[in-house]
Amino acid sequence: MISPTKRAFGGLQSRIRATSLLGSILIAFSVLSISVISYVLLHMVQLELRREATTRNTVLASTIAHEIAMTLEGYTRGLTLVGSEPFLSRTGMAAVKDIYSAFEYIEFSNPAGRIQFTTDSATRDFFDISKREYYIQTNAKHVTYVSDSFISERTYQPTAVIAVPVPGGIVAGHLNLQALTDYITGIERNDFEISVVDRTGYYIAHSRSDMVYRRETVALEPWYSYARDSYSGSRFNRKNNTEYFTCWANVNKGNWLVVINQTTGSIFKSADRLRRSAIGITLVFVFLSVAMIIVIIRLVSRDINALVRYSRQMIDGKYDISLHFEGFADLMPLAQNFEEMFAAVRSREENLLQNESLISANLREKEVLLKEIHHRVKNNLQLVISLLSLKAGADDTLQAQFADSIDRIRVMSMIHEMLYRSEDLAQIDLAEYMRIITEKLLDNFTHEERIPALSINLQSINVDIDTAIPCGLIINELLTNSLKYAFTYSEATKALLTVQLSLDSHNSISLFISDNGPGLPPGFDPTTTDTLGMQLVLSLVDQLGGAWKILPGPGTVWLITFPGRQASIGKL
Amino acid sequence: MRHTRIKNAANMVQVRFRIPQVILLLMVGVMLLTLSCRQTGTIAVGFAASLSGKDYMLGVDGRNAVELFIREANQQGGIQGKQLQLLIRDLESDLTKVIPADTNLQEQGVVAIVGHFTSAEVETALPFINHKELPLISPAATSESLSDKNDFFFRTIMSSRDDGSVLANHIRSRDLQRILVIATALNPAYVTTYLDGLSKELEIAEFLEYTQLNDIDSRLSRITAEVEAICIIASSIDTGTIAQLLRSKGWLQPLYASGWAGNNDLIHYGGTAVEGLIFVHQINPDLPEIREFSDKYSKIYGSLPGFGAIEAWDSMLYLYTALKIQKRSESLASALRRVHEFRGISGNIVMNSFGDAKRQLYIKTVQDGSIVTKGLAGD
Repeated sequence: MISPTKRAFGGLQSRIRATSLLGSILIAFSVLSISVISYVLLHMVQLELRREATTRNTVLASTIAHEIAMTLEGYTRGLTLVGSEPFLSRTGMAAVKDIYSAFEYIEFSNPAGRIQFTTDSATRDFFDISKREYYIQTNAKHVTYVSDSFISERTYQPTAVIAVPVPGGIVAGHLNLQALTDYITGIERNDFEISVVDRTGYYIAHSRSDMVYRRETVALEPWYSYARDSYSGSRFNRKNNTEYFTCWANVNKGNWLVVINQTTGSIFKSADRLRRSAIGITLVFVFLSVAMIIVIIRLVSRDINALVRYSRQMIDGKYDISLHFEGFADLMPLAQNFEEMFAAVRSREENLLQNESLISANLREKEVLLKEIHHRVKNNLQLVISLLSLKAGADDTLQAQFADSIDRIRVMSMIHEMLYRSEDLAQIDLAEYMRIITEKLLDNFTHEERIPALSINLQSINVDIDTAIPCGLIINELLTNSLKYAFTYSEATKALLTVQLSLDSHNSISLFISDNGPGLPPGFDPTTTDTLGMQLVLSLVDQLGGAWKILPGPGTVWLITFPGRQASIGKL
Repeated sequence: MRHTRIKNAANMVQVRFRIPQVILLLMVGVMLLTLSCRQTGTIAVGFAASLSGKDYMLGVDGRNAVELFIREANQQGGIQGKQLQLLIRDLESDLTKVIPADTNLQEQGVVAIVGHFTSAEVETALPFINHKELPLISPAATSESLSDKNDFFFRTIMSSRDDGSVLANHIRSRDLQRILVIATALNPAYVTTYLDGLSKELEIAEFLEYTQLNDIDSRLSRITAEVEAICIIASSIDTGTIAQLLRSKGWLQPLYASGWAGNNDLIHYGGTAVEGLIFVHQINPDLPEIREFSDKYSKIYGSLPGFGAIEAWDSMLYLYTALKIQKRSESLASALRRVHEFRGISGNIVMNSFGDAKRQLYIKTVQDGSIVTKGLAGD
């Protein structure tokens, strides 16, 4: 019993070619393997490139940050000079401004926030700067303060104020940050951008100066929230559909950040080349794999087809073809087995044919002998009939006594005659046999006064001789009985004799014999009667394993049923 | 049975290599599908303002606010699932850059332009935007000459004509009649509108127009007329600096200024010289929405939002509201006209059928180094 799952799988198997399946798995596995290896390799390369970029860009950012811090420190020291006696004047301040040329102007204010001197022509002495953030912070904390950047209302360039507490007030230098952009653009760079942002995120220097003038800001960029609170770091981020790798380092003074932005494309350029190469190699490999697998599949299919064709020849019985297999070595044993199997089948077939002709000849000889036996039995029975007829001679009494016996012997003789005339010695058509018996009896009956009409309906049934002889004797007895006793009286009714034979679906043979004579005497019981014919009938029915029944008239109606052993429906 | 198997085998011979082909096709299909799965469906919004040059301040403030607005709108799902994309152009405080910038934005497929903070920029852009039927929403152009026109210009700020009138009424209520007006020559449309309002109520004894602050010094000394009050129509930095200059020269008359100067730079640059200065403004910083916005803005940008940021946020809110109600076959200009009133961070903003805003005016003064609201105009 095959389980449904197994049957379903078996059904699937039957629809897939093993070679195709193997080829597909090989291709899929090859592609998958190469993809996984490429991915892992690429990932490792990317990690290494990222580590290298992080180190390189962070070091660069830190170096620039350090330089800017040192420059700011220098400018702060310059402002401190203004607080010292020799420089605490408009001319001293101007001298400092000349040295530290990035200062747009320098101003000195008293503790009340009123300007005492300034190098700015637009600003008047005693202008109130007490509300300016740089003044408030420096005055409150007495430490150097670097303001957020802003655009100067005079130059429209980014500016920051460095405010330094000095004895007697605060010195503030308005630092033009354009110098920072000039410094950055002077650094040689290939595929990255350098910028400086202030603590609020505005660019105060950029290798693209327009970013500064437009007051572009990084405040909304995700990396900036991390950078604000760290000394240095790096992060991948996306801007305007481009992915960047951003490294930053803090400029200690001023809380500015030096930012190195590099597109990930340029960082992973070599990884991209590797990826493209890997894809190319993979595609070539896949193409070659597919081509090779297709060739192998074709060769294997060719070998299998050769074996299929060879086995087909064997099925068709063409044994004169030999197999010259030149395929794969692992299919060679199969081909050899085929060849040996072919030879074995050929040898057995030849033996079978020889045996068959011997058996046929033997059988034909046996049939001839059997027919001869049946012929001799029939002749012997005819001889017995002749002897009995001679013995009876002209004596009517003896003739009457021997008539029944002669009829019975004739019935048996007839069957042997039919058998030796027949092609089939094992079976006999019971209908034909009954027709011959019936006609013979009626022929013998023609000398009687009344000739009954015959209604005969016989289904052709083939039975063996062991069934046919008892059956023939039964018919002979019952018909003889009817011919003897049913139509002896002259009556107006026309005499009718009915014989029917049929085989039902249960392989049971029914024999129906009736006449329209006066019927059996009242109280007649076939089992208690001492007549030979009746005893013979009952004995033969019993021998056939059947049953008999006398049906109500008119006339005498016999129904005999018996199993049709080895019976079959004959010619229609 | 045997024949069926042979037939199957024959069919299999016909379909040989089909499975490898199917696998390859599937692989190619997956690759193509992956490549084609790119994000689509964005709404491009243009922002054009002066981010550099003399007018940078409002523009930079406005850009910061608009970028913040776009980020928040996109985080909330955008407009009907479409993300907003902001395209920024710098007008460089140069009117010759206006048309190229707007043309570029229009070519990039923006649905509208927010920006053009000065009336002069709007006046330059008007023929182009009307020709292209491209809505322009200005957060700060207040010239009266732009009012009540059935065009593609919209603004969420009110004309400054009423600012001048209200300020003039306030000055007159203090029995001051003759005033000295000091105005920048760099924003004539705004100055003209403001002057219209002032001149209806007051006598302008002297009008001093400047292009550079250094010019003022010598010209002040030539003024002979008696004036009872001084009104400065200039930016906050200029107003603060001029106020210091006036005080240092002994001009002690009451000071008044235009709403343009209404931000903290007025105090930073004016110091104690701007104490008591009065101006009329359309924004009340005490509104909770503005406070909330100020907190948010200062956390990100490190400073309080200026007038430009607040007004730009409201302009974006106006555009956002219209985009949300815009029907499939409706133009954006039509949708903008259907927005009759909306709640901005600077209060309720009523829009008329021409796309001009009607807002409340506040009287403000500088007191103890801070700008404080004295009350609604007319109270």
